[in-house]
Amino acid sequence: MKGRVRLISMTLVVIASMAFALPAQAKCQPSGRGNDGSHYWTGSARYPNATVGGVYSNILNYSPWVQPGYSDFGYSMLRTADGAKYAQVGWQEDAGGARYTFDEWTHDGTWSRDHKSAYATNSHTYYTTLWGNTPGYFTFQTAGSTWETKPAQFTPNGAEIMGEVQTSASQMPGESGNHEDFTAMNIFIGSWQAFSGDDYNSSTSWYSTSVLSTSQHQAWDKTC
Amino acid sequence: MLGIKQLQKWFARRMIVTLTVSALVAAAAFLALVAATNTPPVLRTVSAKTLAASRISLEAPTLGFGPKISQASAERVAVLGESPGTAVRESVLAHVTVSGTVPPVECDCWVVSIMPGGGIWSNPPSGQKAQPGSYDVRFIDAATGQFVFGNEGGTVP
Repeated sequence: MKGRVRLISMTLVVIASMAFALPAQAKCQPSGRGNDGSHYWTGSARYPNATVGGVYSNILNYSPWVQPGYSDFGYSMLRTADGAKYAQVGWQEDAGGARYTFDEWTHDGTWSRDHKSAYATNSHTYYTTLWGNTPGYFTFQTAGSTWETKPAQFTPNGAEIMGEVQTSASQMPGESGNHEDFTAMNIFIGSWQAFSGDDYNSSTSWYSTSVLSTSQHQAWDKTC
Repeated sequence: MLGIKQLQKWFARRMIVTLTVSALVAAAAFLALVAATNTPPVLRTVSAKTLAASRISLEAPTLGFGPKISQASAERVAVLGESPGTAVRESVLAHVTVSGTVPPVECDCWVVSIMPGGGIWSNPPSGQKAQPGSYDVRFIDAATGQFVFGNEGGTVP
C-alpha cells in the first residue's frame, strides 16, 4: 500500500515538474476591451535614412486568442518610411485557429498576401525579408531558406519587427508569463548589423514592451 | 430500271458519303471536347490578370481520371479553422503554377475562393490604415486533400 502511494506521489511530482518546465503559453481573451476593428502593433522599428537591404529576426510562433473575424501576426518587414509600400514575412493566426506562414507585399497598385503551412507554435523561426538579394526582387525566407521571390517595385528605407492585432478585442501576441519574443534582430544597411530599433507600442495602456538588447525585443498583452 | 451493278455503285457512294459525314462529325466533337478540356478555368471572384501579378497561373487540370478529392471536401478544407461566418464563394479544378516559390508550387488543385467571416484586410506597417481586399483563394491538392498554398489581395490607394 505504502509503495503504491509512493509510486503515485512520484508520478504526480514528475507530471507537475514537467508542467512547470513548459512555457505557460495560453490563449487569453483580454478583458475590458471592446472590438474596435483598429490595428495595433508592438515591436521595434528603424528608419536609417538609407537603403535597407534586409531585415530578419528569430520570432516566437506564439498562439494568441483572436477575436472572431480577425487575425494576429508576428513578422519582419521592409518598408518605405512613409509606410505606403512594404514587404513582410511572418506567422499568422486566424480566429478559428488556422495558422499560416505568410508573406505580403505591395506591387502594381495592389497588396498581395501568400500563405503556406505554419511552423509549430511555441517554436522560434527566422523570418527574413531581403531586397535586391536577387536584383530587382524581394526574397522572403523562413528558417534560413528561401520561400518566395517577388518583383520589387520600391526601394525600402525602413524596417520593422512587430506583433500585430486587427482589433483591440484580440490578444496582442505574448502574455506576462511568456512574452512574444523577437531575438537575433538584424538589419542590412550596407552590411548586417544589430537592428537597434526604436521601441514601438500602439497602446501603453494595453500592451507592454521590453528592449532586452539592440537585437532582442519582447512584447505582451498586459491583461494576460 | 437500275441494274445490279448500278445499284451497287449507288450504295457504295452513299456509304462513302455517310462514313465521311460521320467521321467529320466525330472529329468536330472530339476537337470541341479537347478545346473545352484545355480551356483554362475561370474564376468570377478574381481575374487571371490579378493572379498573374502574384505569379499564379491556372490552366486546365491534367488529371486523367478526375480528382480523388471531391469539390465539397476541398471546400471544407479551405475554410477549416477560419472565422465563423467564412463562406465559399466558388471553386474550380485547375492545374496551378506559382512562379518564384521554393519548392515550386505546381498541382492539380481545387481553387477555392472564400470570403472570411471578418472580410479581407491588408496587414500594413505600424501606424498605417489597413486596406480592404477583394479576393482570397486557397489551393487544395485534388489528390491528397492537403492545403498547398493561399493568395489574397486588394488595391492600395
